[in-house]
Amino acid sequence: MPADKSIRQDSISVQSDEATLVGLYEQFRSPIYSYTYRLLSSQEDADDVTQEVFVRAFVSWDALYEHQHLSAWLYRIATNLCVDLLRRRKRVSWKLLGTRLHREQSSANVVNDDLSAFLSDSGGIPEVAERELIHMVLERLPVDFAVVLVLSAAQGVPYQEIAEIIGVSPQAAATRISRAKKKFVEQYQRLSKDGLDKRGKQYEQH
Amino acid sequence: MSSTDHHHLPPLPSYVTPSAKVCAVVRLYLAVEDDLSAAQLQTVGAHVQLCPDCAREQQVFRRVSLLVATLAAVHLSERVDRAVMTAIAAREQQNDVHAPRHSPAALRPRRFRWVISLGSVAALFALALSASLFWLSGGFQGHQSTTLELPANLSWNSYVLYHTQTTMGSQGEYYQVTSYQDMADHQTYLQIATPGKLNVVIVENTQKSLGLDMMHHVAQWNVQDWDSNDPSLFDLDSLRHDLHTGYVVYQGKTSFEGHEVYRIRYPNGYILLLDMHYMPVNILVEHNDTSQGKPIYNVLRWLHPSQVSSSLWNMTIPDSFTMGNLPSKP
Repeated sequence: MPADKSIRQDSISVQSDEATLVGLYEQFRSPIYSYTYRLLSSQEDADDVTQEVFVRAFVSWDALYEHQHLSAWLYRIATNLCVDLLRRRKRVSWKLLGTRLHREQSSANVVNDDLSAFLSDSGGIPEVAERELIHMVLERLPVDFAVVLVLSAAQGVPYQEIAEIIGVSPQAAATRISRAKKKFVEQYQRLSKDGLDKRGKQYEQH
Repeated sequence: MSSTDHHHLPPLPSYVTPSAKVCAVVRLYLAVEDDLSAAQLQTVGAHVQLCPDCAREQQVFRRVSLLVATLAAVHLSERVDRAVMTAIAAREQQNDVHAPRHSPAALRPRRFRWVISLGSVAALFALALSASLFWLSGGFQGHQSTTLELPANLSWNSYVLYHTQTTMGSQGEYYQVTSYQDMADHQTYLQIATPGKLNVVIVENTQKSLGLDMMHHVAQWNVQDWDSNDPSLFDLDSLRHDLHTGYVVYQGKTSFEGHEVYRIRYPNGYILLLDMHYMPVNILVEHNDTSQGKPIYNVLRWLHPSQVSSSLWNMTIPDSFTMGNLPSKP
């Protein structure tokens, strides 16, 4: 579901400021909102961050020299806001870390080279549950990995633009995407194994 | 994306026979397969046909992309649409003297304490308003130098001073400075940002300072170079002393943004404005274009500490940051 990455510069240059900003909002509201929602897994937070992105953009609009890179600029503002929020969330839940670490260590041995279940179409997991699982996997990834993964795979942003958004070289961006994908597989396997174990235990109890 | 420039990735080997080196390069390309040109896809494809490990990697990467792409996109709420449209309209009303001084509270994200954002929108027209209202109110009525007695029980210590400032760097670039100053514990949180170019956060207490380059995830301790440009006129004890000794001159009451204020002039040309409760509302700097001076801060507020997240003063270096040097101050 790649976002529309084209930037309507022709219209931007000839319109009044108000019309330009309305156009900017109309063009980027959906991609920015879907990005923040996919990263934050919360509609309320995504609403708040999206609003903040555009308000900040309007405040800085007159001082912006690079009107050619609007997409990267808006994604960068959104990324910074999301990263701050995700880090704050992680700080809040630090007390749970010990428990989670223990659980993850106990299931660490399930992550192996057998990728057949992962590569199968849905692994037998219902669609809604799978989406929930994907959200959980993203939440457990390091924030930097989740950012590039959502930008690349869900938003369809090319790695060169991702490099611009996160402030690294294109090669570093591609490397991070590669690592993020590998980390995603690890976490996905771990969490789906945990889920299967729980279902198995429930079944045994019955 | 075939038109994009791929020269930043290591060049694809012309030969496709699997080897550790070739596979490493090909796998980097596989991670961004959707962004490759037709020619690159052909070369990568030829290698993948000969290399089962890379073929497996390609399957895994594709599956990850597919899974992440299935994440649903939900609809943006109308509340956000309304708030953004109001912000655009407010921006356009900068020159309307009847526009409200502050953004309506309804515009603010409900649960965020990011007072910066919409306060900054208000600041955009506050700058214009400050000049307009000054003229409408008859401007500064002339220096009425008398004495100003600050109440003995006056204290600024139970507040956090918040202000934003747009200023110009040595290269002529505008940047935004946002500052929170805990008056009781003498802690400061400072953010210096130029959209897309710079985003540095400085957290400082009486012992040390920590600088964080939020764009490149670099941290540095004791960053004296990045100290605030704040003229430090928010020290009540010094103000009492300076008024007493005559180092600063009380110039009488005047009007600022429609409110009566006390005006105190410093020898360096700064003019501190206090409201009728003796709380600073802004600092003016003398300017050729205006007889009363230009306000330094876009927004200046005195916040109750409960309005500010305690995480602002946190001096823990985030996990993903590496130690290094902050970029040069603009």
